[in-house]
Amino acid sequence: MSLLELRGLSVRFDTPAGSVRAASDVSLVLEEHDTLAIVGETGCGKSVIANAILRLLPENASVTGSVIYRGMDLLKMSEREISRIRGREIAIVFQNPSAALNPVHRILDQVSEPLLIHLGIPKRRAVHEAEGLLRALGLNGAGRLYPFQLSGGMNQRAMIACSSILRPKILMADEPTKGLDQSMVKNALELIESVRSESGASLIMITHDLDVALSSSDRIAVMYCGEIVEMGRTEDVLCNPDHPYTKALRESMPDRGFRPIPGNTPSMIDPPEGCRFHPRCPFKMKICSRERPSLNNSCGRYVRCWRCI
Amino acid sequence: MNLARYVISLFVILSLNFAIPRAMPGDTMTNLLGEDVILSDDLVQEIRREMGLDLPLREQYIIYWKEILRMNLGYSYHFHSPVLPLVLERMKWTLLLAAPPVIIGALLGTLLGALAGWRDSPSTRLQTFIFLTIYSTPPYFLALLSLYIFGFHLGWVPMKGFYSTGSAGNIIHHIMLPVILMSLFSASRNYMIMRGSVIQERRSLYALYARAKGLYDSQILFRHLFRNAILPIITLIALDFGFIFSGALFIEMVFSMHGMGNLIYSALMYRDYPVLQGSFLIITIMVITANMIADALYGLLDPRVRGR
Amino acid sequence: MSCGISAKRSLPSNPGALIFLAFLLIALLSPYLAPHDPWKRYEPYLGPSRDHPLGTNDMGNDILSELMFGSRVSLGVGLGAAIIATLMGTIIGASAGYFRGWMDEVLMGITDIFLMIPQIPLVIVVAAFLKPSAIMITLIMGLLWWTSLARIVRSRVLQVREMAFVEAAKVIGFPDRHIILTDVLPNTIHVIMPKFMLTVASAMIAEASLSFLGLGDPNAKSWGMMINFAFSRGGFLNGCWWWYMPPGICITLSVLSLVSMSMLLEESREDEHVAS
Repeated sequence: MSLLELRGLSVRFDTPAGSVRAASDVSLVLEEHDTLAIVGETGCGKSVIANAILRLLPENASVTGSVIYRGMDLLKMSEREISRIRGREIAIVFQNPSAALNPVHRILDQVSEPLLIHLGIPKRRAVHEAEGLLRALGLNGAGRLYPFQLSGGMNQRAMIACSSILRPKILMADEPTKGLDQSMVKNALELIESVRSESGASLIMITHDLDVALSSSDRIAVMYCGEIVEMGRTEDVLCNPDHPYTKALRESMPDRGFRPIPGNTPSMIDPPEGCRFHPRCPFKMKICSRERPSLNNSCGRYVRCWRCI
Repeated sequence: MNLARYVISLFVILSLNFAIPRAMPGDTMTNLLGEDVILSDDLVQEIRREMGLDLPLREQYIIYWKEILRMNLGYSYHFHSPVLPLVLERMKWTLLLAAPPVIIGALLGTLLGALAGWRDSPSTRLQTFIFLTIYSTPPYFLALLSLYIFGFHLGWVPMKGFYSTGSAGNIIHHIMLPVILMSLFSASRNYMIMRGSVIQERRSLYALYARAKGLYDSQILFRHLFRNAILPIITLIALDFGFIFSGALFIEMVFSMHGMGNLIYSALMYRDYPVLQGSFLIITIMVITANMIADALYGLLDPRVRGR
Repeated sequence: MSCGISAKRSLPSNPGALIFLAFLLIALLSPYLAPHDPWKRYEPYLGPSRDHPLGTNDMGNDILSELMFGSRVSLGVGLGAAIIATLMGTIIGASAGYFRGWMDEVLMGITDIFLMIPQIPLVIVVAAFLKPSAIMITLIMGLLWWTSLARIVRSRVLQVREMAFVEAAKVIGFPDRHIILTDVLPNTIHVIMPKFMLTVASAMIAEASLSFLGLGDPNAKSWGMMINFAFSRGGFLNGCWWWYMPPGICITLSVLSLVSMSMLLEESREDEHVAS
């Protein structure tokens, strides 16, 4: 049995402008100690997946499919049951730590909170344990301070401490490097990796940055317009992409010539017929605009493209 | 910085108090003494001189401040009493009526308002509608209606007067209905403000993160949202204190209670301007004090202010 | 951008908006709708009947007609005071937010001082000195009720002035007055409207309260005046519910409709904010 398995997960948001199909038919598997990166441009639905797993989406979202964690379908749980999974079994680190931490509580109280609500241990012991973790993460003395008194990088450390203090089985990081400069990116990734390996968790790294994916994950899923278009071992996929979108994405990276992908990101309300990438695809065939390709598996490599069948 | 603001406010209001009787139409002396005073012409001249009304305004203003510093707010010819002790004596009773409701209303209003902002259900919608209706009704009309129903029809509460014997039980019997009404009135205002504030905070990222940490439903509201939601509205609640106090005045009038409300009512009947102005001054000082307390409270609750 | 898609869609079907519209129409058309002349005397203390659907008062005036004509005074004072207050608040708030610097300091300092004066007691004092008339009461309230709006407008203008199109207009060299009127205010109107409605509502309650104190216009039959007479001339103790209930219900209903419209505008604005 896999640790986590998504089966045909679809997410739709009902908005005044129409219904937005943020994720369509997403299936993937995460094993223990696995590290998986989900990459794609902003708005492709990768963060939606992470929030859908923990059922953190707003009320106007409707989610179908199933999210199986250790044999239990998270989507069928009651709110009370899923709240016991959140933070304890599956934890998440958001991309904007200074806004995700509560402005009027001290860091120490926030980091120790999961111990109080999940384990019910006495406040003093919880605070003591949180102090130890903060010290280990290089936040000596920051516990008595408030988020507004710390830098963004320190707040991120505090949030990572808070999300990992219960040694969850799965740690999800939603764009942890967005807005950080190059040296900070390295620090953040090292911190996440050390926390992950120390607690033996699996990692889901959500990022738009292929370098981040490469250095932090064994496997990768590339998303375009709410769909997984390519999935496999990270090195294989990034060094030798099969899907035209993965190729284009790689070439749009700064170290690879910064060539932007031609055309516009499609509307998520009314996505293109057939293959969703076909309006921008240089290798487009007739069938591409008519029929939607499925995600085909060949030797552990999944590709959603008519040319790769 | 903030203290300066209060001092300036007080200065402006006291100056306004000086200016109003002199700027308003009619004889300044009548405006200062009230219209319920009938004096002989000689006496009028004498008082005019005594009050310094034939001096230039600048000197009158200095005299005015000297009197203020000596805690002299003038003399009421209608009540045959200096204004300040008269007002303070009545203020006691009004505070007895207004203070419990301010506290009850703040607790009840913020708590229920927070819950209503947190979850939208048929019962919270009904609650919102009820509080909205109370909010929209002039307090004196609410008082009249309930006096009519509970006093006149059902006979549960006395129709008139505040303290017939002065014993504690008697006072409670008389004050119960007005206190309940005032509490509802004050709660309705706090409810509407708090509900809006929680609706806004509910969408913040830290609330989502609290959920992601495994907090369950109202735990998020009470452990994380409540304190953030109440911060911006502490000052609003303090500013609203003036409104709630005015509500108390009207409720006193309806219930013929012995307090500021009836003092103002009879001062209006006899155009006893010194009492009117003195009452206004004391009420304003109370509202300013409430705002200062709110400021201090804000600093205690918000580390971002305290840190500075 | 002004009032929002969802607000535009939901306002016409909002019961509050419909009720308020009905009151407005009654106020405008009261000479045609009222069954009697509100000053004409019939038999006093009549209960509701076919000829007098809401009975008569102690003077024998027809209450339904009084009520219809009363809506003119109550709504007129409320709207008038709110328009004055909104104009003042907008001008002061927009100038403070747009020009910033010393202008901001001075204007907001004045606003803070006015904000702390308890408005109703001050109105009572001023009204006591003056000969009460509907216009005077409107003016006094209008000149006092602008403070919280000025603050709201200022903080919104502070946001708007940093937006690209305002910067662009400045670079091109449009005069400030032009920029404020054509660029800044249209993007501020959606914070002004809900507050305007609340101001109408609180001015209506204040007018009713002043009338209750006998400080209302004695020549204008407002709803507050009707309750005042019912209270002071024995309508309550004689159980003439048709005398005091209708004006009270009218005040509550019209204030309720204004407050609910204001809430609707406020909430749909926030929803849009989230959707975008």
